[in-house]
Amino acid sequence: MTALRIAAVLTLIGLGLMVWSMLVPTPLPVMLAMTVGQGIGSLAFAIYLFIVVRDVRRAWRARRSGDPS
Amino acid sequence: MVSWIISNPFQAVACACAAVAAVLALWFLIRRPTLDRATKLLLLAGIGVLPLATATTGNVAGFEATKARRFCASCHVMTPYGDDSGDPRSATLAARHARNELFGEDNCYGCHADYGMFGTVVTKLGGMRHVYEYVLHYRTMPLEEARRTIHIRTPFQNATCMHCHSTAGPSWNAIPEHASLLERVRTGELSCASAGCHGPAHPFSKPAPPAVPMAPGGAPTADVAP
Repeated sequence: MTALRIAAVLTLIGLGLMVWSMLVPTPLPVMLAMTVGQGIGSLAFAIYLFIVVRDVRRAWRARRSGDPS
Repeated sequence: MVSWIISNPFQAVACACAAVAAVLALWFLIRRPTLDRATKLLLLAGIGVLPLATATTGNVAGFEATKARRFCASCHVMTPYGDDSGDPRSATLAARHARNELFGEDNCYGCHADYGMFGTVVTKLGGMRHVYEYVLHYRTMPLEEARRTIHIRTPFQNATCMHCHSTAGPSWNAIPEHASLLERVRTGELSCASAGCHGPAHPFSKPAPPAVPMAPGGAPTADVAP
């Protein structure tokens, strides 16, 4: 849950950089959005995928072993 | 606001996606819901799909923004060039091209872009170099000093002019100087922006041109870099 909160915060930072580049289309915001902003957004999505895939695998293993937890 | 959305559909889509994604991310941070399937799906939209849509449409909008004159002129050392291009009274080559609707607000890009197969990529890489040079060397430089110091990295290629002025049209060849210098122009031996021909596109950034001795046919005998 903490990792997903971190992912949500990273998403907000990445979105902020991307929107900034559209509202102020000058070299620094545009370059930051296309590098740092998208990098942060990708990292956030990677964290989300990692958490979800991990949960799915845990549930799958639990079902296979017959463990109700 | 409506005109802004109509004129920038990619920006509008990107901002809308970003707004919805931000709402979903804030909802998750503030409400702290249990991590069930519905929450995961909402987070898939808020952290994955919508930010991806924002980045994709934002990239298109960003690349379009980098073509605009106001983008180029946002670095202070480029303001004289941008101001001159946008001046309806200016008679410089750059300003006259900017008044052509085919160039318009994107006139910097129109003349300084490469037009090969990978022209856009090469041009964008060159732009990255401009930003690098600006941040490291020109950011604090006074405008007058920058005007004397800044120069085009490689001589302006006639091929860029010939992207529009093919040199094959009858009206172009009807000009005696064009007809007599056809091969030298096509091979790039003589620059279109030579003194005695069209001259530099941004003459205010150049020292006063030396007197060019003219050949009997009216052509300059020496090539002067633009």
